[in-house]
Amino acid sequence: MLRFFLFFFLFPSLAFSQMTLFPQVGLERFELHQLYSRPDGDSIRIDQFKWYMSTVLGEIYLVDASDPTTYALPFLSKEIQLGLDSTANTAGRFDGAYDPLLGMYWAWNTGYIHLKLVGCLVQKGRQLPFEYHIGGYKAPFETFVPITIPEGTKNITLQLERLFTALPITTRPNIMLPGVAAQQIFHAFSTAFE
Amino acid sequence: MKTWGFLFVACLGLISLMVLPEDGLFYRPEKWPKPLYNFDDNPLTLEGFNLGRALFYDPILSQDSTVSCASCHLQYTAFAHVDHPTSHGINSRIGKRNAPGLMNLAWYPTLHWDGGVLNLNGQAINPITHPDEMGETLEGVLKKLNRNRYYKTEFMKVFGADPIQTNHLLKALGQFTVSLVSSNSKYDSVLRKESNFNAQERRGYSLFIKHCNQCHTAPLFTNFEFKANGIGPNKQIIDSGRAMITGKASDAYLFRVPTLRNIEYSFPYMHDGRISKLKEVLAHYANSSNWQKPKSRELTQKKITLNVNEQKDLLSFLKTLSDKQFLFNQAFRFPRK
Ligand code: HEC
Ligand code: HEC
Repeated sequence: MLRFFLFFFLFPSLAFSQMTLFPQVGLERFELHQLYSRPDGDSIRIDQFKWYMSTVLGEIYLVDASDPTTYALPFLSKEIQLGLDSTANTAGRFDGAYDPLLGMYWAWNTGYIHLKLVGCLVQKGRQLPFEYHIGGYKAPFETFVPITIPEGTKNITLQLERLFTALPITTRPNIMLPGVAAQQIFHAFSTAFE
Repeated sequence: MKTWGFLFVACLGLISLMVLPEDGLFYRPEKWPKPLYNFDDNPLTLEGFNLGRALFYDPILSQDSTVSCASCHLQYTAFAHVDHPTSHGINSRIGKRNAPGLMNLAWYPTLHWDGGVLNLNGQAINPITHPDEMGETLEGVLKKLNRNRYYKTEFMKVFGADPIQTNHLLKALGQFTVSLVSSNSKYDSVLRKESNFNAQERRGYSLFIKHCNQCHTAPLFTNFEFKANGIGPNKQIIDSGRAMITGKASDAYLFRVPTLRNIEYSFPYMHDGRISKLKEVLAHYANSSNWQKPKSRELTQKKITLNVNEQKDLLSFLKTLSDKQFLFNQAFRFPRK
């Protein structure tokens, strides 16, 4: 039963891998645990960076920067969504990409973290740790955006500079709940796909 | 006992068996609404139920192997916690709440006092990973289970699972908790015309219909809405209840209406366990000058005044909601492997 499921889970990723994500900061390839300078003179380091993508067909997929093989998207569909819709959030299944082991499940307020971003801001030699668990599927605090990708695209470049600049690290180093602040970060992330 | 339980299709969809309440497996009582639990996703079997029960009573789920689900959910208190809850520090979200009784969970649209949890199987992640409860990680529990011969064999039998994964663990626990059906109280037998209320219980029943049933609606004795019954916010422990989930100020200090089945046994009472005796709960409702803000409409619409005799009548009715068959059902007890 499980093998059967795994087969279906893995098969599309082997056979139809069509689009690959290329996260970048400026012209450099993005790497975890590296220092990147921001326009304001501070530097930023990312230690955890994971996010869910889904398709209009209801498939869900977790991208994890600590495992760059996940940059190869197993999607046939051109209609990609960043984040998960309410059906996926409340599916009540805990297998495959839904497994709470992946560290993206909010147990006490049912739903998934759509974007997890953990790291440190280095400011005049000071280190300011931050942790963002961004999610939400109930109006008006959804973090869920369709992304249009031109036909025939094989490589999707993610420009992360804008996201890094938009993080409100000095004022709100921790966000763990759906809300306006979470939406703003998610929006900044979605612009990386433009 | 004339109520036959439901038909259950076993794992392979081939074997089906008739189930009696005494067997422990889930059944749908006559005239009750359709359960909300997704049985198609987790078809119940006796083996699955027994596996879930073994896990429920096994401290292997906690970090230092001292705490099991049953440490806080005891059968003889309708799976509620007997201790008065104490605060476990400010970050302890669940530690500040009273463990509710566990029964008829297949009908619950939401779980927890604030309704934040939408799925019975997924609920178990809360106690397992909560630092003040079982303090374990899912990785840790799965590692232990996958090293345990008994669990390896049983999970293989029930789910064909090797290795045991999160969803198998949660489904197994769900098979047990969803089967905790309580529907054989005196009240139920009166409804089935198998016995009669005495005069006091009958008077209490009329008072109940008049003053309480709007929120504590039969047959589950809750309408599952979020309300305030006038006890007022707890002054020591900050807990805004439903507002924590919805973020709405108007939901502050609202809590899910609790069931009153087996209420005689599931003390202490209220989300923070602040009232220890049922008599005192009735005294609270009896005297509207005690009520603090916020107060839900159902309470303030009609003026409730209950004199001492009426309180006694109500109490004797509430005791007809005790289900000895449930509280002493062997099938729910600590298992012998
Ligand atoms: C340390 C005490 C403790 C332990 C151990 C514990 N629970 Fe609970 N349980 C609670 C408390 C407290 C609540 C209420 C939480 C809330 O409302 O925020 C609760 C709520 C629940 C609910 C929801 C009931 C309702 O009416 O909404 C279920 C189901 C449940 N627990 C099952 C379990 C299972 C299964 C285990 C073992 C894996 C377990 N519990 C272990 C204290 C505990
Ligand atoms: C406005 C809806 C409402 C009405 C009407 C109402 N209750 Fe309640 N009741 C609640 C809520 C909400 C709680 C939980 C409050 C909390 O913990 O903050 C509660 C808690 C209780 C409890 C404690 C249950 C437990 O498990 O801790 C008892 C007993 C109870 N009510 C009995 C009654 C009786 C008897 C009446 C009629 C006289 C009544 N209620 C009328 C909403 C209501």
